Amino acid sequence: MPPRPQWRPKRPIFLRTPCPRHLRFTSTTTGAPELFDVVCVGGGPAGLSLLAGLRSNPSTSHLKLALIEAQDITQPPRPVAPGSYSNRCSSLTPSSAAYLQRIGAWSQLDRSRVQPYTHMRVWDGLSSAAITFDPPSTSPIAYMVENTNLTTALSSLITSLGGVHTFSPARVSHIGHGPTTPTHDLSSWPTLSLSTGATLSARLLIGADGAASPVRSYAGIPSRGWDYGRVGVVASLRLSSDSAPKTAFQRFLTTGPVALLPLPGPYATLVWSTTPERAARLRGLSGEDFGACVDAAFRLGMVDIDYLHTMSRGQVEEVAWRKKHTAYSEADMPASVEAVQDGSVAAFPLKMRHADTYISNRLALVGDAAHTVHPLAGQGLNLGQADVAALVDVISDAVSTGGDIGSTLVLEEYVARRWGANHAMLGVCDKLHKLYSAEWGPLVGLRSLGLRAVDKLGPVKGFLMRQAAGM
Amino acid sequence: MLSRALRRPRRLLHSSPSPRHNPSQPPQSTIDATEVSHFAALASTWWDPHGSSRLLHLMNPLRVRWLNECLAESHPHLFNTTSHNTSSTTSPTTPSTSASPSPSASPSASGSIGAESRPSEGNAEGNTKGLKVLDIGCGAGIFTESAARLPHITHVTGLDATPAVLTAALAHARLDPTLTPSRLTYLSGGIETHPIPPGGYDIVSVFEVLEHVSRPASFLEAVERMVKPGGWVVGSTIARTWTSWVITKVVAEEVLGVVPRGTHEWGKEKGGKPTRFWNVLRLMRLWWGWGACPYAERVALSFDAGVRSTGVEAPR
Repeated sequence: MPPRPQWRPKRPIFLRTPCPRHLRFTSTTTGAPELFDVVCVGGGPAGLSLLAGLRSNPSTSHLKLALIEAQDITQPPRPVAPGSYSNRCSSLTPSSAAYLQRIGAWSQLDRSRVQPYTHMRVWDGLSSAAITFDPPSTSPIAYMVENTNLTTALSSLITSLGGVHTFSPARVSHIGHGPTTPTHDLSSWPTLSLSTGATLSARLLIGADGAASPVRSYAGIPSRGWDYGRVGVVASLRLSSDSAPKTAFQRFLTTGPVALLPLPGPYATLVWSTTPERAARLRGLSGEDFGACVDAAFRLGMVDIDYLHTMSRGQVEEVAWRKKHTAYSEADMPASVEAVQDGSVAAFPLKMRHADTYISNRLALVGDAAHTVHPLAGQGLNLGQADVAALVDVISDAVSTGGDIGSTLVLEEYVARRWGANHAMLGVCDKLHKLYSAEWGPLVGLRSLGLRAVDKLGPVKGFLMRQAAGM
Repeated sequence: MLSRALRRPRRLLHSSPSPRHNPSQPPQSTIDATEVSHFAALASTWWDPHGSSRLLHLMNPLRVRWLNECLAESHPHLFNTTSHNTSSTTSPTTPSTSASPSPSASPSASGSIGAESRPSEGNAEGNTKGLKVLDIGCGAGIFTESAARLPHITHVTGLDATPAVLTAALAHARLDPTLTPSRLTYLSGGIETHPIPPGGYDIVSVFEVLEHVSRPASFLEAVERMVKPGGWVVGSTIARTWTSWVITKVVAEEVLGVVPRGTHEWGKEKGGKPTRFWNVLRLMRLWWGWGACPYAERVALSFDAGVRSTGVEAPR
């Protein structure tokens, strides 16, 4: 069991921007902070889902909630063109989808921009050993959703449920301790000073503020892990044809996996994990050459792909010629890339991080603030949704039994439910990355044998599918 | 017998007082002085989540859930109106009002702390319809605080014989602005001298108390005078069986050391030879660990028992 760090009344840290001196001790002198049951820092999918979950649960709907988000989320989202997709997409597993359905967020999604897929093909870049997932029923393996579609849906759900005090755009300038009065002692209540001038004291402070979580730093919870020395290149693509049935493709190259995930119609989203040098080269290419490289990443051998990364342009012709001299089955491949959406090519560093614990006195971390996972299994957002579902459940239990929802006695149940499960998933993704980064012949042989064996063993494959679906 | 007595409250309370409880004489205390000093020593660690009271903290949600089950049986309307109506009264269903919700919503932690403004104390309808609770042997307030936070409970009085644990209880209640004196009061003293409020209490709780008092029978007689007809006496204690001796004295105190030595004084624990308490209480179920154990009577370690006063005529 990890050590449980207690609340540390240490030197207050100043977040993002230094706080003017006159603001520093407002909470302990004259200020009268507004009291909230739950203050959530971060209006991403995890934070919004938590607030919506609390509002839609009958036993927690009376709690006083606040949301603090640096970006302005009170404005209606800008309308998006039908053929244009955000480059930040996530695959929602059936269990995440079920949770969103339960809290009422699913119906708020723009369903015309959500793409379920029922088939998946994963293969080895060195041996072409493959595993194909094609469930007998038509139940989706996952749903591809743009992150903005999800946050917009959750925001509008929160708006329709009401009751969440939204501070947006607002930054947390300081987190300290609450005041002590003759009748009450709020020194254990995290008290936040916002850039808007508001002061909030929280019975329970939620850190849903991403991988660099200021709330986590405030609590002094260490987060451990490593950088992969890889970046994820993302892009929104239009393919030459609409695939039927909708299939997710992933090929493990030695530099990292490349995945093409279906969006509605002929559109698809790319996540290509690769070295920073190669990512820089890819980002510098024209749309046509970039598209040719994506085609090559699924079809050509590693030697061809290595060579393409040495060229500064002209990949289109090179790939066209090399394809003719490479043996592969076009039927097993994703449709070729026809166009790359302008400005959609971006890259982000890949790392593995896991917080030692998710809680402290009157504080809990959810989503990326608690863990960062390699994207190869598309689990990042889903782990966050599972955290949220568990935390809402724990809070709801505590409220109906008269517990103090900020106490570690209540919150430790949340850690018990999620830490181990998340750690297992982080570990599996990490080991898969390492296994498939290897080029050593015997290891490639063994992993190919293993993949082919799993492909033939229906029950094992089914078990893996259920694990990936979060069931 | 308590259950029979409660069906005839008049006779019990007015016509035939127990010889040991002659009203003309001051009531004898059932407080045990050595128990008082033992618990005074524990006061400082009572609320430590990893301290010697950890097991009590872990058991507490089960007790409250079980109390809720008892109340849902006797007062179903409370559960229909409070816990579900809060959502409809506090959350406007019209999307237009949602970005900045109305301050009239009554969340459990509203308002700001200051000399002039106090946080609100739950919703008003809960206060008028709610129930009054007496928690005997409240210690530093583990059950007392959680009962005071329940929406359908108006007020909880915590009563304990050890002043030092009440100091810890008061200090801890200060950490939660919803636990104002209008919701939660602590009193020092014994049950015999505690004044009965008009009508009595709706719920009297005696969790893990009976094994610590010196004369359980007189203690229970005093308890039954506190509860109003139709109300509940809920409690738990440790049975005097060899299994509970092994677990509480040997395992908890000696082997694991999770409970301070001397917490359970064996001579006082109930069971084995049936005492008056077990004659009269309807054994409900055993809670141990995380769930209800179906073999309550066979394992008989620590059970919650509840008896509902069935008297319909209010004692004068």
